[in-house]
Amino acid sequence: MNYFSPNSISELFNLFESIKNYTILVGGTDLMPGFENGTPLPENLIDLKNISDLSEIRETTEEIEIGALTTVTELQKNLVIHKYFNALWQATKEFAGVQIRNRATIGGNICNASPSGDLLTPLYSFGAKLKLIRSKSERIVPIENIITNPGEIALNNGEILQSVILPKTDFQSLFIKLGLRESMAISVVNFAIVYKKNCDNFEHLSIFAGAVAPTIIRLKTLENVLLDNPKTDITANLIVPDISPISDIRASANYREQVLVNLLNNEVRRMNDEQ
Amino acid sequence: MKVIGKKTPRVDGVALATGKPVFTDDVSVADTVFIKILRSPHAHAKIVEIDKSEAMGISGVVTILTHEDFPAHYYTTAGQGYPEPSPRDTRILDSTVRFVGDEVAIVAAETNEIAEKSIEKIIVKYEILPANFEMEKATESSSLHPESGKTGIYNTQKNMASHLEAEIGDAEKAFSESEHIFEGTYSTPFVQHAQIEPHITLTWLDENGRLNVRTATQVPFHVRRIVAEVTNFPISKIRVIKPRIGGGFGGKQEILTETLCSAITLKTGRPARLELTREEEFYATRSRHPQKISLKIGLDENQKITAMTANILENCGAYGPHALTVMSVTAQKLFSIYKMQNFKVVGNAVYTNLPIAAAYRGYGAPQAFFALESLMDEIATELGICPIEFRKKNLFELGDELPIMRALGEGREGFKAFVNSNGLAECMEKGRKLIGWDEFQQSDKNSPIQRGIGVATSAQGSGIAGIDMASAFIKMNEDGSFNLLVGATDLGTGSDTALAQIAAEVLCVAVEKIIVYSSDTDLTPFDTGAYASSTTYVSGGAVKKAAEKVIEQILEQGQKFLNLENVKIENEFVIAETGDKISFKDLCTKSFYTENQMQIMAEASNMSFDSPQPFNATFAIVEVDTETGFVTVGKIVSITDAGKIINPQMSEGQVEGSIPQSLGMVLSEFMTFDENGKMTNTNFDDYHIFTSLDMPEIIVDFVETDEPTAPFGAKAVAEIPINAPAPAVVNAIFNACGVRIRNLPITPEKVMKKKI
Ligand SMILES: Cc1cc2nc3c(=O)[nH]c(=O)nc-3n(C[C@H](O)[C@H](O)[C@H](O)COP(=O)(O)OP(=O)(O)OC[C@H]3O[C@@H](n4cnc5c(N)ncnc54)[C@H](O)[C@@H]3O)c2cc1C
Repeated sequence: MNYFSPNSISELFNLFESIKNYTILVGGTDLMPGFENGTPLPENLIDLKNISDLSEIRETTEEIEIGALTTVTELQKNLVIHKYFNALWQATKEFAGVQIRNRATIGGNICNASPSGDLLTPLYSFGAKLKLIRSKSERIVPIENIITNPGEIALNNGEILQSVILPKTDFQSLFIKLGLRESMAISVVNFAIVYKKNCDNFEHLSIFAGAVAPTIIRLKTLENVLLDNPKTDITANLIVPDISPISDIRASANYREQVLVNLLNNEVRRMNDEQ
Repeated sequence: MKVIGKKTPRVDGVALATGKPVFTDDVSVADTVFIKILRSPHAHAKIVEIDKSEAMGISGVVTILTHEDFPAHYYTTAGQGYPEPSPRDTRILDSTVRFVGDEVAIVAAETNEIAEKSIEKIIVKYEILPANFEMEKATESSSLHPESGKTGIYNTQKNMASHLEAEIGDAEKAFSESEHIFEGTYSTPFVQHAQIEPHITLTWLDENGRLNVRTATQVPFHVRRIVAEVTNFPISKIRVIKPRIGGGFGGKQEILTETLCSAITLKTGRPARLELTREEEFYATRSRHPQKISLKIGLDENQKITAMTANILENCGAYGPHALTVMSVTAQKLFSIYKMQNFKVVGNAVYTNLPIAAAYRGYGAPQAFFALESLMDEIATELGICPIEFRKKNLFELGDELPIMRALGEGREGFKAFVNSNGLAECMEKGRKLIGWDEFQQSDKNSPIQRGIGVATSAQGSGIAGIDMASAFIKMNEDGSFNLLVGATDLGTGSDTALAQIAAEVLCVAVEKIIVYSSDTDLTPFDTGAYASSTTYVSGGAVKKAAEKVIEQILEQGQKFLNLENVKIENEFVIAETGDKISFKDLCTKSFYTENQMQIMAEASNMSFDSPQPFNATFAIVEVDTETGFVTVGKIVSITDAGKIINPQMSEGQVEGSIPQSLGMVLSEFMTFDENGKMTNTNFDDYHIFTSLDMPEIIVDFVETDEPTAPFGAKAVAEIPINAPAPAVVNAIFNACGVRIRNLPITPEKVMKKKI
């Protein structure tokens, strides 16, 4: 295996000229345990750690652009994220433990495309767009168009994730995670809600859940019912049309469904009680 | 007392805290070969053929050993008293594999990486045999150990590794006369020690052709005996050295890496190193025996226990190290707290095609107290009486005989035992206050978070009565310091420090004057090892006796040098009534060089026909999230009667360290297997030990009693605190939300299922 650590984006693109078979490495918190557990080593490993341009957080009046190499710890310390994107900020707090948060990156969480990735439900709920760059072009695409299946992303050869763009709004938001211990636990279920209330009604509502389907999914049926009547008691039949949970070592499909219903009820009730 | 019971820093503390090269792995020997183990992918299979030609062809591979390289000699990996009560059902490498992970071949190579590559190239042809993963079906399944030559198996055909029975009085008759009868069946899963340092051994031949074994073990003398037996190499030519250990909890009471490593060194003549991976630690070392315990308790109209019967089914996994003795402790401990005239216990330990269980801190007692203390709580609830008062009413009193100890020893008939110290009732009272039992308020019934409180008690032993033996040797130096040489094994517990304190107390010197050297089979005298909570009680007794002999010699020399009869010791001087005195320093120097020349030194051995019980009462407050079933432990109060406390901080450390292990067993730790018997959570990401964020507030305290048979009244503190937290939490969960779970672990999912 060859190891490369280009110092700039242009060096990276030069490298892509000659190398076609490669894997991108950033924090390595998904990749390294994978190698340890038998994922074959790639022919070439390209480490982006020296490309400092990729770890900047830029703020404009309309949006915030988060570099793909931004670590979870850096997200957590960022005041703009704390102010505008509470659900994302909450997710950074529930994420793994301190050591992992210091290495794990937002880009890695997205490109790893795990259905239980903790940053994903907030990003979906805020309508995140991804900026993907290649040697001579760039594209900006909604996150749901890129994450296609567990562990699968629609990136072209020679393309990397440069940044994540979130529109600033005056929406409120929250993130809830159930893991089987207080830290260092993978989500059994998680969800994010981004909303705006107008008197007793929701003027804006988006609810995305994780670890209950192959990718992050939108609880569309539930959203529609709540937009109609925010006081609706949430029952399983309001989420079942959108989810397809599996049973694994952590929990059964049944439990995931049941707990998602309970936790959603809890949060929506709280949102209703807010003035 | 000057030293006992006083704040004393650990004698090895600075070296450990400053990262000195103290562990097995911190030493490397030139020219070492590295060992990797090829393990069975099948739960039960005969090895038909092993083709190692391709693997041997890899450059850097030094040797590969398989069952063909060893005679069919059967032994047990259990490092315990000899002859061992465990069945001799194990071969160093066997031609049959009996669980996924069983050893098939070992490769020694110039590097770990080459060894790893090489094991992948060994081609093994297996004939698959039927496998059974359920202990309930073990007796009807095909035999795991039909081979002749295996000894000590209770019933080979029925896969029963061991069996026990004990009876006092007439339980059936007593039941028929009882006012109330309660029953329950309780089960526990396989759980792992999860000690930080994996099993690791380094072996080499020294200039005299003697085999040196530097190893992470709790039982250096058993290692020497078993390595000698298995490799057919004389005991006189083996030296076992135990450096500092990164935790053992019973897992290192097994001889696992030492035999394989020694075999490679003896075969190749080269130093060899074998360190297991974390995954191997999970599925291929040892774990706690799952047990299913059925209890039946009869009470009279005064809520006094009249009779109890217990049925124990124990899952050994594929081999039976500690099968009988763990089950014996379960049986003993079921009848060691509450007094009754009639009881009967029957136990069967059975083989299944799963990873092997063996010694794990508590050694059968955690299973016993989970069952017993759950049922006691169920009874108190049912009868509407205070669980503390109900327990107190039934306790043994001072001077009572413990009839179970006579009926059932550790693998053989026991010895008469009496309760000579018992602070359990006071432990309960102290804990009751510290947790705020009487003021405790349950949550509002409509709240999604339900709070509950629970209590449980437990007992353990201090060493194995009539079996454990320890010895110590002390010599004096001319600066007034003393070398203390003990076979006892400090596995991170701090026993070197506790033993130094005992010596210092008797010798009337500061602890700094005691230079401890332990666990080296060439240099230190025999000790059965660090298990069964024995070191302070048994080894401590040996140290005390040896130190008393040394003091005699010091006084005699003092009398001679001062020419006076009436002398005493004060501040490291021998002082006569007249005021004449001689310092320890001068006394020893004179003894070495000028007058009545001699080395002041003494040795002593110690064993005991008693195994006095330490006691513990643990209280728990939990919060159950009724929307997720998630249980959060809010507070644990653990009060222990360990006799006189030799070292307060280390004792607190023992208690604090045991709590996450017990909480793990009740809430989050369990080994899972797929349909082929392969363990599926072989890492800490899915095998959930408690993290610091999961830990509750802990209050640790002691009720000091004076155990007459013990050195300075000290009973054991090593295992006792691990038993009661689990049932205390079980009882608190019931108190919180009315959910009673009798099969561990209590996962959120189980709580939710029970609630509907
Ligand atoms: C102990 C532990 C606990 C964990 N706990 C959590 C948790 O609580 N919640 C959670 O969500 N996750 C958790 N994870 C998973 C992991 O930490 C996260 O998914 C993390 O965000 C991955 O980031 P990374 O930088 O380490 O990615 P890496 O491992 O370096 O990469 C992950 C994948 O993304 C690709 N990639 C990374 N960056 C780019 C890019 N810019 N462009 C294109 N492809 C890219 C890589 O090629 C690779 O396939 C945990 C992991 C461990 C080891």
